[in-house]
Amino acid sequence: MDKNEIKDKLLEIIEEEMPEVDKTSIDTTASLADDGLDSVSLIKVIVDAEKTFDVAFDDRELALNKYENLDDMVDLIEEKLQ
Amino acid sequence: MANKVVLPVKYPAVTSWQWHATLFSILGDDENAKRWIYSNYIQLRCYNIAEYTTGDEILLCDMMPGSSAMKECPYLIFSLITKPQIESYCGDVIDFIVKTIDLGGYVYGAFDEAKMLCDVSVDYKFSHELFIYGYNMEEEVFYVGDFTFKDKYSYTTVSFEKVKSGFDALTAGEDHVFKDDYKGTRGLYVIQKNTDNRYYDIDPALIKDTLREYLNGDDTKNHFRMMRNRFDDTVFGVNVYDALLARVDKQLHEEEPDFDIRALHIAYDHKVLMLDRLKYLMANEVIPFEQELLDEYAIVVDNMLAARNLLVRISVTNEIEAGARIKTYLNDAKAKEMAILSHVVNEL
Repeated sequence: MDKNEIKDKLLEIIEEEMPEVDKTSIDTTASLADDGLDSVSLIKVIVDAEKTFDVAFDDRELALNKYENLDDMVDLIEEKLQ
Repeated sequence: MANKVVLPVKYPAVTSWQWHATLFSILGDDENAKRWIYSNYIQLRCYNIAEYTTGDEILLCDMMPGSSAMKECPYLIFSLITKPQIESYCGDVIDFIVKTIDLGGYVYGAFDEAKMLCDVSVDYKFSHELFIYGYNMEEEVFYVGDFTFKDKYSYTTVSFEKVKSGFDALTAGEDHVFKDDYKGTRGLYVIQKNTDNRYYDIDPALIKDTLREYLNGDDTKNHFRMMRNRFDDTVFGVNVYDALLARVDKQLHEEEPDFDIRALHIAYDHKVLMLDRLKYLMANEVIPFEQELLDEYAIVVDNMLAARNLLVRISVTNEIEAGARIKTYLNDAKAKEMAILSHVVNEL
């Protein structure tokens, strides 16, 4: 799975978890907080991402401050898939 | 009267309770206020209490000073205004809040927020503290800070009408902010910044004494019995780690598990603030600069964040057995923090 596919699936998960967020308005280079995610919503997205991509995040990877932006999370998922 | 006035706020470093979020929102990064904040907010305490909204037992965990922080902070002027005063001075609460903001005053008090959350009439009440820091006459809204409107502390707007109905709906006995200290009284607090002069210096002796009490799990409240003695607190300082563990174990193994993260969140905020304090003390040469010590304490912060986030994760996945890892995070954090703070006490 390439980066763009990971990003698209991740955006779908975000939209599903947070219906108030329009995935087309998400800037994957902006901070997650600017994209409307908080600590709790991020963890919900990660739990869904684990099922979708069949990967595991460790407890320290649940922290909002672990990611500068959504692209960081895409990179981490790509790394886990390799 | 202006069309729009918004007093300065900064998203707070501590978001655990409304009183702390309000204090930090107003004082932000003020250099004078830091002298008081870093000399206090050291001791941690917790006790079991019935939550006023649900009656459920919770572990109430808080830093000291707790809900009285804004009264005790010398960099804020904190005035109590009763409902009869508000009505006598201004006629109604909207006019009072607008005039207070025009004079540079923030407003804080209990409102029935069920009236703000629902567009339709509801027959239940949800009394919660609302922090008001601005208004817009054209849009007829107040600028407010609260936990109620999103899943986290946030700044938003609430209409004049909803604020008025939320204020009018609560009786004296339902005003939980005033109920404990001023039984039978209903009103609001007006808060003004008092940061122009240096009223309080960083206090190494107080920091050292309080850190010792934190490390020994001593009852710091014994110093303040002249002012209040109504609570019989049970656990102080590093012993809070054990109370947190017992609480997490109990809440995860109830018939219907309870995933309240508030106690773990305040403990995490305590570590964030402690790390900021250590950096501040080093930058101001109160203690020697030691990068290794800051790096070690950052691990304590990470452990507490991992513990809090793990509890959130368990609330989503229901993997109760993962709760065992919370014990590891807390025990590691406790051991590391005790070693670091014992070293700091010796340096002070």
